[in-house]
Order: sequence, then structure tokens, then C-alpha cells
Amino acid sequence: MTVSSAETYLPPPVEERYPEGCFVQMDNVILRYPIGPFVKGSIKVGLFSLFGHKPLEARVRRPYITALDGVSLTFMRGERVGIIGRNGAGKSTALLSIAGIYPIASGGLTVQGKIQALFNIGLGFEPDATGRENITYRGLAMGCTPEEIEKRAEEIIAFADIGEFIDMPIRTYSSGMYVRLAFSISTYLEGDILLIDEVFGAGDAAFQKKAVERIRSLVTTAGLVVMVTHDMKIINTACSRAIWLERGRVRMDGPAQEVAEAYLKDTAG
Amino acid sequence: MIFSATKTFTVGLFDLRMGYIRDIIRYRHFWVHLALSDLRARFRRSYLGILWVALQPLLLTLIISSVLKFVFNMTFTEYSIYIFSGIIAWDFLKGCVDFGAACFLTAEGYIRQVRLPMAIYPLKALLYCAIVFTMAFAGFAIYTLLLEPSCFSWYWLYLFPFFAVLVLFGAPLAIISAIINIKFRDFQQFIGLILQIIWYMSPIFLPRNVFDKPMLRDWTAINPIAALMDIFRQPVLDGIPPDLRAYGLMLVWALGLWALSLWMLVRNERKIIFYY
Repeated sequence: MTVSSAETYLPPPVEERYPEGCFVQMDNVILRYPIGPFVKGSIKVGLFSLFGHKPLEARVRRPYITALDGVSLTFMRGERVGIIGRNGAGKSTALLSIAGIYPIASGGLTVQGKIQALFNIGLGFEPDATGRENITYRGLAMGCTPEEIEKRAEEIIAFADIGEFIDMPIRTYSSGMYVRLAFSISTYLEGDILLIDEVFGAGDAAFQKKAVERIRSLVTTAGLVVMVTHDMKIINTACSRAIWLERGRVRMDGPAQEVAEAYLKDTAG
Repeated sequence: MIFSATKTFTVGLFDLRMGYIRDIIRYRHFWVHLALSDLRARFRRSYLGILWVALQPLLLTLIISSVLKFVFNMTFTEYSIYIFSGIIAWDFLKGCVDFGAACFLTAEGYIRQVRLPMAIYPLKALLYCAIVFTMAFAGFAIYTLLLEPSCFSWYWLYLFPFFAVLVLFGAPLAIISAIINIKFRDFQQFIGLILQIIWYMSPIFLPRNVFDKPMLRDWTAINPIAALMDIFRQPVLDGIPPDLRAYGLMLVWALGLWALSLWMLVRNERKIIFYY
């Protein structure tokens, strides 16, 4: 499918492969990140408290940080959503909660579709195994069978385009190669919902261009892309819609260019 | 066909996820692969490779048997078989605790990336230990048949229920150990000492009759390790059917540990991510 067909804001027709369509619905989601475990969880702290030393938890006001504070959003099939905002605004947390990794404290979160996540690069790679082996590991973690991964492996390797490094241990890779391989695996092991967290930085310009193309074409064949990035150029070229998060709340939601512009204006002033 | 599967899940306050066990089975390729990759990693670039799994307990057995022969003048062959059996069964349980404790920490990359049932990580540790035990047992069987062929009898068939009990007892150990250690990292340091004490207080390398002395009798009566060693050794070494009372004790222990481990798992399944 050509890139231009994905330019329209209307979601493409639902294919047979996804009869029910995929979507993410967040309804007044509150997510609290406990600070407790880090202080509570050691015997040392327990011993100190015997001698009247107050643990940090008792000194800070709340035992948790409210990372998402009443977020209501709906992402439908065919959307390419970019999430922007300052550091600590809850962007990554939002992605992680959609992926089901962080439990939410209250509200409703419904996800329909198979999730394909690309969070911190390097995580989820076995450093001593080769690139090829890591394709298998990650594929299996995504619930694919070895045969399905086998079928996809050549495409993944071709897109990653890291030459002979594919048969070398991951620990010999440069950070750019990490991104290439991770991105390639996540986008070729098809999921319905692709979540990407700030991974383009390490790739070179040529790869970034290729990745943006890939994301645009993905939406026409797969489903829904939600990404977090600080790069407004990527927001403008790859996304159809942008969400601006601030202190765990949605500050603005609309067409990518408009939101990116408003955000840039705000940060400059 | 997993590619086309659409999965619906709702995460909310009362998040009871259906199909937990179904997911464990669905992702079997993944955790089986992890266990095999751990095994490969352990023996990467070693000349004898996987042979070490049997070689290590054998050499330890020979060392202990030799020492005890010189010090206490015990018969070497018979006693070395006794020790060998004790060591491999103990190594399995210790492995469940140790690898269980490490399993969430080493799987951080996956746990932060995909939501899978947390139980697959202790399960991976269990599988790893089971593979190691199977190979060590093969070494033990060969050693026994070479040195003491008279040990072999149809009673060896009683080993199958023993294997089942071993897994049934080891699995909750791995789960409990995994959950405690992710919350209290001191556990990993501390449990080694506890295990060392249990090792001395169980019939692993010291003769069995030591543990029937008045001072230790009550402890031995409830010690699951002693019961486990009995149901392992009676058919293999003594040529008698295993003690049913020992089986009963093992089942009580296993049930208790399972109840505890499942309770801990249900309470902590979603919280584990916050402890990294």
C-alpha cells in the first residue's frame, strides 16, 4: 500500500484479519507509582527504624507519585498517535499502562488487539546471544511460535540491515544497531497495536527516515501506532494525531502539527 | 494461529485475569527457550560443557566419601552412592531456591517489555533445575550400576513418583523464593546460610542413622528433606518399597507450600514491576 493512502484521517477499512478492529480506551485512568517499596523493602531500614530513624516514606507526604491523573483517551484503528510533553509528564507511563505492564489504580483501561511494544532498547535483548537468536527470543516473548518467527526472520534481518553483525553477540552492537534490530523486530512481528517509546534518537538520519516510512505503512496494514518522542519532526512526519501530556493530565489533543506547534510555543515561552 | 488472535483484557481495580494458566501454556515456547538459553550460557566455552552437570556432584561425592572413609573408616562404594543420591536431590532443591530468587531479576528486560504471567519465570527456573537434575541422575544411575550392579531392581520404578514429588515440592519453592527476593533483596544473601544449616541437619552426606538419634528424631520426623531422601534411597539403595509415611509428609509439605506460593503470587503478580 502506498504511503499517501495513510495520509487521510479516516481509518482504513477494517480487514478480514481484524474483524473486530483494535482500539485502546482509557477512561479516567489514574496510575500511582508507589515510592514505598524502595524504602520499605529492606531489612536495613527496618533495623534503623528500631532506633528511631524514620524511613523516607514517613518523611515524604505521599507514599506514591500520581503518574497519570485522570487520563481519558480513545485510540482507534488506523491512528498514528504521538505523545509529547516535558520529562516526567507521564508519557512513558501511559504507554506502559496500555501495554499492561503497570497496573492502574482506578479508572478503566480496555485494550483490544495484540500489543507489540518497543520500549527501552537493550531491554529484552540477551547480550551474549546473537542478533538472530534474539529475534527468536523476542518473538517468543510476543507469543509467536518458532515457525512463525522463522518465516519472518529474513524480513526482519533485511530491514535492520546490519550486515554480518546479525550473527554476532548483541553486546558487540553499537547503539544504532540496537535500535535498528529492535525496531525491525517489533514492526515485523505483527501486532495490532505498536507502542514505541523514544527510540529513534540513536538511529542515524537514513534509518529514521526508513523507520518513519515503515510506521506510516504499518498503520495501513496493521492497526494502531502510539509513540512517545521529543522529536517534533517525527511527530510532524509520522503522526496523524498528538497528545500533549502535562503532569499526568491531557493538556491538548488534536492533529499532530497543531499540538506540536502549541507545545513548542509553550516551551519556548 | 497466534498472529491473528485478538486479545481483550481490561485492567482495572479488580483485575482478575482469566486464562492465566492458558497463557502459561501459550507462552511455553518462550520459557522453555529461556531455560535452555540459561543452560547454554552456563556452559558456554567450557570444554566439557553439559557433562559438568553430572561431573560436579560426582567429584564432590568422591571427595566427601574419601574424607569420610579416612576419618570414620566407612565402606567407600556403598557410601558414595548414598552421598551421590543425596547431593543431586539436594542440588535440585537448592537450585529451585537460588534460581527462583534470581529469576525475576534476570528477566527484567522481558518483564518491562511485555506483560506475561509472572509464574513463567519461576517455572523457567524449575525447568532448568529439572533438566540439570535429569542429567545428574543419569550420571548417578550409571555410577551405581557400574559400582554396585546389585542395587538395580524393579523397585527403581518407584523413582517415578519420587520425581513427581520432587517437582511438586520444588515448584512452589521457586515461586516463593522469587517473590520474596524481588521485594527483599537481602533474601538472596540470607537464604544461603539457612540452606547450609538445613544441609547439615538433613541426611544428605551424613549417615541416615545419625538423624534417628534422640536429639534429632523429632526434627527428622517433620523434615521434608529427610522424607525426600528416604523415598529416593529406599528403592534404589535398600531395595525396599518407599515409606508411605514419608510420602504423606511430602504431600503435606507440598500442599502447604503450594497454598503459600499461590497466595503470594495472586497478591504480588501486578506489583512486581514496582520493585525494580
